[in-house]
Amino acid sequence: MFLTCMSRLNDYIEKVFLGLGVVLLSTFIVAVFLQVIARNYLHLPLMWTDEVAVISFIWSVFLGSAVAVRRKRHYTVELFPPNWIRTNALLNVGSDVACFLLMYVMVHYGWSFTWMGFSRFSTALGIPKAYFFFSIPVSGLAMILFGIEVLQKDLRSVGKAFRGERA
Amino acid sequence: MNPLVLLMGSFFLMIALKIPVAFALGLSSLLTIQYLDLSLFSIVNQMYASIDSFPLLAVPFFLLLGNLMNEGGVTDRLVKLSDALIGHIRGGLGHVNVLVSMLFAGLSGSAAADTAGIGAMLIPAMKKAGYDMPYTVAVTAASSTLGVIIPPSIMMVVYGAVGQVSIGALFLSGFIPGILIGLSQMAYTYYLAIKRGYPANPRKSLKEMVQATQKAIPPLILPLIILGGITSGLFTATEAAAVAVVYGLVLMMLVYRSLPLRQVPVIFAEAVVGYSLAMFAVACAGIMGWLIAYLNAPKLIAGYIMGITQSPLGIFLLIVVFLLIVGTFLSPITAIIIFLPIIQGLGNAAGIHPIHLGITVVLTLSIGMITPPYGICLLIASQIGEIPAPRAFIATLPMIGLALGIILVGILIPDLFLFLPKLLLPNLMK
Repeated sequence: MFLTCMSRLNDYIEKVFLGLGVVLLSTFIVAVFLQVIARNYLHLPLMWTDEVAVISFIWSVFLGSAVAVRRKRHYTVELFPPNWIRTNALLNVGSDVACFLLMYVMVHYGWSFTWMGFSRFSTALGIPKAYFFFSIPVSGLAMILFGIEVLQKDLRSVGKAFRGERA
Repeated sequence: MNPLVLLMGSFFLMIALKIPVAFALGLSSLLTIQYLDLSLFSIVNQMYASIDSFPLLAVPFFLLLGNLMNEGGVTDRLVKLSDALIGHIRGGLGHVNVLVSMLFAGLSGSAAADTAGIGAMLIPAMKKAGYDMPYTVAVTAASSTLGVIIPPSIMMVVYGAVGQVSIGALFLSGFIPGILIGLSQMAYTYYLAIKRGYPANPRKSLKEMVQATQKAIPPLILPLIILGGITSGLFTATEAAAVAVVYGLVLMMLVYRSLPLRQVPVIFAEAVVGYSLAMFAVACAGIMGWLIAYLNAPKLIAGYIMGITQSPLGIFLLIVVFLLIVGTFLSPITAIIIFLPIIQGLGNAAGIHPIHLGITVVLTLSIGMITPPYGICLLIASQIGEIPAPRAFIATLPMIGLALGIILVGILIPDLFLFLPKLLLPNLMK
């Protein structure tokens, strides 16, 4: 029950993150393009495009890397042959658990970092840097939610690997 | 324990235990920061600072551009053009494979997009024409590394952004080695074609050649926009990349109508996840890079190595061997961020020109994309060809040897790679 709710919640988060990612990517394409046009053809250097582009980029990176946790797209080195099913299954679980530590740091310290960011302001837009920094704890939190789902699946495959080989 | 040993040791242990490389970078840094009693705050701070960079925005653009070319049918046009030009030579499809990679490299900054797009088209075609699979997969993978050598190049963007070197000059320095490596692969293909009796495609008529060229001209204007814009100072590499993406979108959606509007968000979403992987690794590698600098490793290691050899040639060879090893299990971008401070420290101490160093590092790491266990191009190509990666790897060895030979010549004769940037960007090359 808990896990079906979890995976439904994660489906929703993934959809929102990807949707936002598409919007952010489009935003920074347009921003940089505008910057070129404005400077070279309108002779009107824009100051804000640079920052709008970078903030969209940073947010899209942190949202996208959270989605990549759920899809298991973060690259790992495959040292052991794929037919060592038990070893690989156990290592997957260990790796899932270890990753939570970095995710926790992203949430906890990312949150204080964001608070600190309310007293630092960006050069061109003059908005608090907190709006930039907030992407880190948000990403960390989503990574934890996605990570729990991945861990649960990997635990299940450990069970399967050990039962399967005995049978 | 020496904190540097702890940092590196725990990192290698973690990636061996299947912790994703990006997380292992962050976790080993976390461990070392705790050990040194520094604030864990540095982790988020450095993570943020490493991707808070306008030049890095060129990475998503060049990656997206490669995907757009594949989806919008441009790869198909380039294959037809190459076939019309050189398909009639013995081993035709092999030559076509290399030439398409060279053309595609001028449009895309990523090698993986090159392997996936060209491999999906040419590997089945070559199989049908009777080429043996290990060679087919090998030439597809090896030639696609030209994607990061012939400009534009994501790897050079990251190198320039992190190492504070002109990205434009790096781009220009990639031309000559890219063409030489491509030609060496064609020569090798010709040799195999004679030995193994690979077929040739029928010679095309002049009319067909003209038609194929006309169809490929609009996309082939892109490299001119990118390089012309950068060398003339009209725009920076990042801006050139954005202009190229807009040009590509307009071309495919409005002119060719090969890319329906509803397909665009799908391609964009895939691109976001794709570049986030690389950029999250950059963010985490940034923490480690900061620690390495904090521990004064660049100076220590440079001092240690200069005690052994002081000749630029010796330093170069050490760097090449080191990067060949590192490249087998790290992605080139990750390797650049972690080790660039140390490599540049050595280069400065030995008096090596920063662009000469840069192009040598990029060329060497591009070989890492076809060496297992982590050779992304080799993995993609062998999946398409449905053969085990190690078998394909053996078939790439001669081509790796040729590329290494070219790197060595470039080390000995710096102006071979540097004369183009010196000619076109004299101010940046002093």
